[in-house]
Amino acid sequence: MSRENHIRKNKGLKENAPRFFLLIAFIVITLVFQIMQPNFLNITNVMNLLAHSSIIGILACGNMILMAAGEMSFSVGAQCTVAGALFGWVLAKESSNSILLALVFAMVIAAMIGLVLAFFTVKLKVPTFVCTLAMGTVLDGFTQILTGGSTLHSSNWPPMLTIMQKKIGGVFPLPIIVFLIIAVITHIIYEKTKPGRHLYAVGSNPTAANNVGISVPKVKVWAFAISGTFCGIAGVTAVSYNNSVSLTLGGEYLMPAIAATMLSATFLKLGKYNVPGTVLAAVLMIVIQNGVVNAGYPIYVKDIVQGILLTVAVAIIVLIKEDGLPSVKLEN
Amino acid sequence: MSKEAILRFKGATKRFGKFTAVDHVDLEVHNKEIVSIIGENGAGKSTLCKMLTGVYSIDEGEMYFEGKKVEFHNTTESMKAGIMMVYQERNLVGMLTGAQNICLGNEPKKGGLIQEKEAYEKALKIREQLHLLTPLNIPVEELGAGEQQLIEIMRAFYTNPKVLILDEPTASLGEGEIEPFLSFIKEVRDTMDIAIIFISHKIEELFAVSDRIVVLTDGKNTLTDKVENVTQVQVIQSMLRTGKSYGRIPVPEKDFNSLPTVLKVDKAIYDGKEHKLNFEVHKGEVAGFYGLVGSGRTECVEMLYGLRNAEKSYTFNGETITKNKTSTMIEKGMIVTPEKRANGIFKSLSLIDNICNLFLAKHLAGKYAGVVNRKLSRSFADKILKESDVKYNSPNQQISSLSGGNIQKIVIGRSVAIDNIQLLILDEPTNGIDIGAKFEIYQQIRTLTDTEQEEKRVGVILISSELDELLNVCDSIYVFANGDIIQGFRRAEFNKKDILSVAVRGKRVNE
Repeated sequence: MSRENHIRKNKGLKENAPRFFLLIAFIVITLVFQIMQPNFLNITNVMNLLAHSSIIGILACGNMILMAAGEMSFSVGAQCTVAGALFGWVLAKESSNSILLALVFAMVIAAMIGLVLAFFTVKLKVPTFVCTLAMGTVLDGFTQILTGGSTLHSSNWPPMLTIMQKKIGGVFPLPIIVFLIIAVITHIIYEKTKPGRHLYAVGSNPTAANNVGISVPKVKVWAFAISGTFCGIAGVTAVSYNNSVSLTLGGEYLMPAIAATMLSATFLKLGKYNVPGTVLAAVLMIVIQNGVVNAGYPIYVKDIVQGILLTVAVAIIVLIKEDGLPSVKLEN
Repeated sequence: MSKEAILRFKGATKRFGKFTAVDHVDLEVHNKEIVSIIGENGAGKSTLCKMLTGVYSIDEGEMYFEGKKVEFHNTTESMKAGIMMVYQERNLVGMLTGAQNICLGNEPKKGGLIQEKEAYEKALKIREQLHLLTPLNIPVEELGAGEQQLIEIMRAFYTNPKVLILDEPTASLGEGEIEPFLSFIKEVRDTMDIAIIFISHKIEELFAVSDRIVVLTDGKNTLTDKVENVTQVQVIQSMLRTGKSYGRIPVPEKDFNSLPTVLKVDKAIYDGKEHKLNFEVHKGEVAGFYGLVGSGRTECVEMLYGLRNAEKSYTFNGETITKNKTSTMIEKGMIVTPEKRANGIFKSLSLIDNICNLFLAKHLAGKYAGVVNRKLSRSFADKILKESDVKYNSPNQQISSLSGGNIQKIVIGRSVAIDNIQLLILDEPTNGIDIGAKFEIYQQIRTLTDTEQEEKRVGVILISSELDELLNVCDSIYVFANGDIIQGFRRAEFNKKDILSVAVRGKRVNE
């Protein structure tokens, strides 16, 4: 049957256009904001934008690893906040204001939250959706306890805490650098290494993965642990950049982070979550938020725009990919 | 045999509870040999393979690999030893390329990074060894079914296998792809050091490709011989089950030519193919659909019932139907009980709810705001439970607490309670229920077609993989293969061997 060379299907505009949906949306939306307010693209605002999107981006990268493995978490926002709160809480104690100690503490707890989720979803087979929704509520409660129910800021905090407000060369805020490093590492792991390949295999065809000897539960546990750690990094970065622990942090980040991951599958590799797409989408989310606020619209307008964008993007994938995405499988 | 066998089963047995799936089977596989395993649905072929690959443990008997006694606990162990299995369902990751799929799980790496080039070259080398030309650098989802199949076989060769198990490898192939595939398999046998186990229920294929044929019937090995020593007829004969004692059901003789026709079908187009479906069902007739897995029985029923998109034109109860929806078919008096019992019931609901949910739209939820009338529901459910002779404690108990046989009786009982019932279609109704309960279901079916009030008689289509059951209960049997009805038999013409032969060969036998 294959005695003759396979001729690759000629892809027309119809098939290629969706690959750049995200990029086109990005350019159009940015241009609209630039026309509305000529200051939109000045260097200060761009850097401000990028710094904010870095936190969303780090979160989205972790979330992408989880979603690539076929799971979906609604607690990434809460995980991020509780890690930030732990970090701030440890440092607020007079007896323990070592940045390093607080950092390690927050990271270990963040990873462990991921493992707890893995225990419930992988081991006990509780649906991830329910489990992470519940975990989100529990963690929000803990955050309230740690912060005393209001925005946390302490005079005990060492000056080092605000390191993320520093700018490299006086231009680039430090979170951008952290984000870039994390994005590059995630990209390499996901696209170039064996664990990354197995992650994707498990998410898109668990039976096939199992049949070639990949342990599906093991890969999923790792995905939960890593995504938990990424939530921790995002939380600590946010606290350092804002110089406070805000209770609404997680709630604000959840939707953009999930949306950024989803949108990544509409960029370049249709139907496959990828890091370049995640980065672009994370920035886009903040562009929308920032643009809406700067243009004088009420903040909730951004929710509407972000929501529509996400729906359209996922609809595009569904129309093109018959078998859907890992973690958003379609029946038939 | 002179040579030492690579793989040998001695008295291998596997039991699931009381049921013996594989019963003291001896099997030998040699290097450079294709051994085919053939058997009806549920004859134990898959179970045997799962024992070979370590998915199932062996309850009794021994397994020898390269002369040494072995025991595999999982597929990783058997794969390491050199037993590779290519599964019936496709096992590829769509967005990865052929080369990436071939290496999946064993990617060559350096410094933690996958060496894509090396992986591609390795895959290319396997491709050359096998004399194939399937492209390896594009996502496999862009390839056809046949080429995807070949990618999976190449993957099996990635680790130098000694035994290759192919489970129904031609099932997903198109007609033009089968023959080249078979000659490819023979070429592999001749050029490589490998033993091949080929599982199929298409007998012509097996005769074309195998060196030796092993027949399994009800888990027992009923024939093992070189292919040149046996004929197709002999193989079919040894596939016949000895026939479990069911207890004969009385089937009255009727002259169907004088009875009204409920359903008449000629052909229909679905799944991109025209299917010849020449059959009719009369009032008071039980028509059996026989065929092996994938022969298209369920698809045909789904077409009739409006569950499968199709271009069709058939006569139901005197009305020509070209477009249908399931809800309108039920109104017209056709109802199907699904193949999996679980799809016919609401597991966590009570008997009353399970019976009445089908009728809520009509008489049970009154005129006002559709509030369900509990009293009416209760008496309706009681009536059906009594008519169907169900053993239960309370109509409020959960349906899942009943036995499979009793659940099936409820499903049938409530189905025939629809207004204007003309045709009841039962898809594998006796699957997984014990012999006593089966007998009661047969009685229930025959009562529907033979009741003394002639105007109340209905037509029944009974889909089953158990030929004995069909021979026992039906007035006629239609045999499916490759999506078509190949031949129909009236009760007077029933002949077990002929029917089985039509199913495995996909060709008519001469009357």
